[in-house]
Amino acid sequence: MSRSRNFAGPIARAARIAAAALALAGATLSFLLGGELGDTLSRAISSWQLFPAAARIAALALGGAGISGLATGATLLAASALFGRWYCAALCPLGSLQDAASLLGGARRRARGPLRGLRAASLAAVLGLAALGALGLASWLDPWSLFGRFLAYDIQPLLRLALRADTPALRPELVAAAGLAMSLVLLASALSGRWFCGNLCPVGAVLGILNRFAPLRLRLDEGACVSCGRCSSVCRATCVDGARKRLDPTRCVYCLACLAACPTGAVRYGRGPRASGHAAARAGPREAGPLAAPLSRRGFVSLLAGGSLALGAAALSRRSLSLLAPRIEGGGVPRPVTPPGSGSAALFAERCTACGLCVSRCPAKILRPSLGRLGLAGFLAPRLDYSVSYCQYDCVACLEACPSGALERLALGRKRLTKIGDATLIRERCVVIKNRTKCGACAEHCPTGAVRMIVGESRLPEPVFDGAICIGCGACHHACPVEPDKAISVAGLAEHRLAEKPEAGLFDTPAHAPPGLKGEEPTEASEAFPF
Amino acid sequence: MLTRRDFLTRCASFGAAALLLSIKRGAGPLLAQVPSAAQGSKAPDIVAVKGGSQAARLDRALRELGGIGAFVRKGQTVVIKPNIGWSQGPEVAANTDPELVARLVEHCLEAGASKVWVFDHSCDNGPSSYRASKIEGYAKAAGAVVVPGESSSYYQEVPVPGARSLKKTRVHELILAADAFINVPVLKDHSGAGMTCAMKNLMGIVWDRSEFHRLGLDQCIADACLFRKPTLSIVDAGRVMLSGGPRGYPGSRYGEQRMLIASTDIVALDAVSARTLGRAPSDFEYIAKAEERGLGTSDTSRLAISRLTI
Repeated sequence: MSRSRNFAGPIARAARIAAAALALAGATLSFLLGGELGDTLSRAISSWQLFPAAARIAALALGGAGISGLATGATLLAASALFGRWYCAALCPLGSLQDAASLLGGARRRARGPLRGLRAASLAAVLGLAALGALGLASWLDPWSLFGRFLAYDIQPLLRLALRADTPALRPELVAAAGLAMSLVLLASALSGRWFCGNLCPVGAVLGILNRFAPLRLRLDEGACVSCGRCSSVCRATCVDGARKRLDPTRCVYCLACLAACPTGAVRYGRGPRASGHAAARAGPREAGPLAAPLSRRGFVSLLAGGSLALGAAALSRRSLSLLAPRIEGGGVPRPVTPPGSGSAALFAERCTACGLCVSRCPAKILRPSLGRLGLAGFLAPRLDYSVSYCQYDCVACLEACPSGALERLALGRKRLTKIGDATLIRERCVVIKNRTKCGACAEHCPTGAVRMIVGESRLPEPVFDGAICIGCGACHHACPVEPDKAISVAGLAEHRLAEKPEAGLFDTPAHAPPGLKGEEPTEASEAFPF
Repeated sequence: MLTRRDFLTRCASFGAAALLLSIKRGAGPLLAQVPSAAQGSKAPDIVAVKGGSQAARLDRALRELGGIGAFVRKGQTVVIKPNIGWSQGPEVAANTDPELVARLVEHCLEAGASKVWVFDHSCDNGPSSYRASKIEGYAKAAGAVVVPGESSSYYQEVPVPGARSLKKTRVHELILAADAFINVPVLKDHSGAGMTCAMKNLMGIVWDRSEFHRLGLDQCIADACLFRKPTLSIVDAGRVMLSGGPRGYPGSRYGEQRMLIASTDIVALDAVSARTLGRAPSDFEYIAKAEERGLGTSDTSRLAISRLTI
């Protein structure tokens, strides 16, 4: 074989490692880097992740309005179907992290063969749960969400601690679960390379099928192979068997280690052999034959048909499953507030994969994973916790970051009018009424003027509430000094809606204006000194 | 004793200085002002400067007070406490003007300050308020170290000597550490306290503001000033929010005062600021409570006020 081919392999492999390192760094910073740069980066990285991209497409198919970012998902799937499974080699942060872990595992690594049927079972479980509207549960097999939860609930809190930044306390079980899931994946990779990708990952299972039929992909030319076995010794996905001259296209993760190691150029990327000639007849079926269960065209079609039927049935019945539905009508407990752009708690619970990206991006740190409030379906889907802070009026960080379509990308102007909750003012608890001292913490924080101070019977400015222009941001709730039961508190709504625009003239006079001053022109500027 | 010769020398040097200044600044009503403190024996109690830019007003006011060197000595550390309460742009005038803060940082560094810190415990999210107010960018460019205020770990519990209600509270560590403490509030309407200015701005050096509201807002505003008296307070009364404060709304009304007021007397500052809002000092209980604790004088008729126009 030509020398150039032997150079091309290592160069391609180096390029793939560089791309993977960049994507991993970008994904990590998506969760850790604050500010606008972090916002931009997180949007760029997360929109190219396949599981949330598939969730966006599914949400649209089930009638979701305002689902954006469909192009990236469609592009990823089409590119994989045409050019092979590059996603796992370059874009998936969990894949790259596993590569790093298996490097650390070093000599001890002995790739184990795949467990028969496990990936099919895993894919079926994920699709079933997704069809039931329990993406939060399904996502415990999604590489992006596994990676995200580890960063959001383990790494970011540690970093904030180091930077002396306050972090709202997380449930230890959650911190442990996110860390344990990541540890198991990485332990498996230290022992056996990309074991997770070939056995459990639903994205890997689908991409494996697409790769199997991709016109351009990584192949092993039996004619050129000398069975030296170098490819098998470097393979981290147990997909290539040098001795038998076979490469399983459904498990290959495009790490390109074999491409770089092959001394004869038998491993190559490109089109299959031409249909004419006996080389093709010989290579075709055998090359396609994987190490474990082969996936024939018939098998593929029946899998597709059966899967669609099951999904359809599950999707139709999903609303009746009370076990999974969010408990938003709990007796006495206020409805949870879900982020702007989520539409309603019910929709949000169905669509959120609980990857934790919005939780990490929220500058006010008010997004907290819910354990039970959003039902089993919305397990770990975040809700707004106004005891920590309040939803910032000029912020759209969560909905800009959301990769799964659970949060519609509302423009800032629309977000500022989106009513996600409603406040309740209990005057008897209010400091002004109870203590006869000035307060107004609620009104001073209110971004719309829904709570205003107007001089009342106490002769002090008292809070007055107008629900029509309240957007439920929780500023009043957070600021209210009355503990433990706030004088003004915000609860979620069954469905988000648009609040009215505050009328002009709401702030014509100062809150403390004595009765005589009301309606008069406030002091205008003049050349003279006012004192 | 002022001899004839001294008098003539002073007149000549003052004239020369005035000439130089007028050349430097362009023609202006340079002498149409109350006599400068440089001539008198003692700096005025309050300096108010109208007209010009934020930076020019500050320059003029500091000159009147004997220069920044009267407050910041070489090698000292300085903490500047502007109002960075809200995630709002400078045009809303909910926060101290960033140009004013930057110019003050420059003055402190010129005076030889070893370090100039800027911080506030914002009401809105800290980093976004720092960003939106433009104070972070301007202060950094001027050479200050901008320190976060949104994390509880920066605040240490201290007793407040002489306090009636707020007997102890958690205060930002920079207030404890810095040699000089310069308070730079923005004057505006306030739905809770009626007015926010010099005293109310010090609510941003403590961690738990909610405590102020529970214990009685007026008393706690006065009490908080007892912990550490600012070396100097400089009020931004450039664009004064007259309604819809403290956050500011599209419907807020403004008075374009183009004024800066500086004093070491925090109570006197709030008293003249009240008049700037069109109100009487007696409208605000915390002014009386602070005066009661000996924090300053609200009767401005007893004070030497230097009123300058540039």
